[in-house]
Amino acid sequence: MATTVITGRDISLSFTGGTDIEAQATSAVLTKMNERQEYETLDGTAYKTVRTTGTFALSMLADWGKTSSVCEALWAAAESAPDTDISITLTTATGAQFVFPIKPEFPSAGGSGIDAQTVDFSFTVTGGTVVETFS
Amino acid sequence: MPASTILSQVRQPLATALASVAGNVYAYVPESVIPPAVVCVPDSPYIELETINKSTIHAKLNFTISVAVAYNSNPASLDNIEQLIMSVLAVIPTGYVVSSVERPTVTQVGASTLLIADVRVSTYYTQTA
Repeated sequence: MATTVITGRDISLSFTGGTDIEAQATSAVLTKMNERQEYETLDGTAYKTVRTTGTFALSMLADWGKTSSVCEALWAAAESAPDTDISITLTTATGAQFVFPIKPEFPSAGGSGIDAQTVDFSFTVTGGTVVETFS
Repeated sequence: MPASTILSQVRQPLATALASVAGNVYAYVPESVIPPAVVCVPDSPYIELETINKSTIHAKLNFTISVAVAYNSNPASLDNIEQLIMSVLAVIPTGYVVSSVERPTVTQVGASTLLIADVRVSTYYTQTA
């Protein structure tokens, strides 16, 4: 079979709330992990996955002041409803979609004089719950 | 053809923003430069694709704003180009990152000897249908 190459430009991303995140995001990475405990038994090492966690790392160009600003929407959500989930839909390439809830975080504000202002997030995926659709 | 172009959305608005400076402003490289002059020139790399997704093109554009004055006497020309650079920096619109100003160099353009310095800037452009 031919080699498949997908890039960050194949990603599509949307938040509940309708902000234009794709115009601002420079990197979007979902990481889901099993937390596994090890037990040394007489038969050897046994493994038991006790829970699943997830994080969503997002890097973006800051968009304070823009209509439908992502930064302002996240700031407002983190302030008014910090424990209410925001649903994220991440499609890494056609046929591979991941839907998951995150807890809102405050974006950083400001930056250095020489660069564009950027914001980096590390969101907690609520309950490590990711609904994937592979076709 | 797309409704928006880099010329209409970026280069011409940049040239318009620079129009108040004391010089001839060009949104492109002119056939002949009449000093004092401010010329918007694509830098290298010109277009960088930094954002995710490709259904809509969001691109970082790098430009050099070349600032040129007549090179007659060294101290006067240096003073002139410093003043022109400062006036350019003062009117660069919001949405632009100004990274550096390169040192002035003496350049022969046609029959004219010019003192030229490059102001490196970048901005973001979204292609709309």
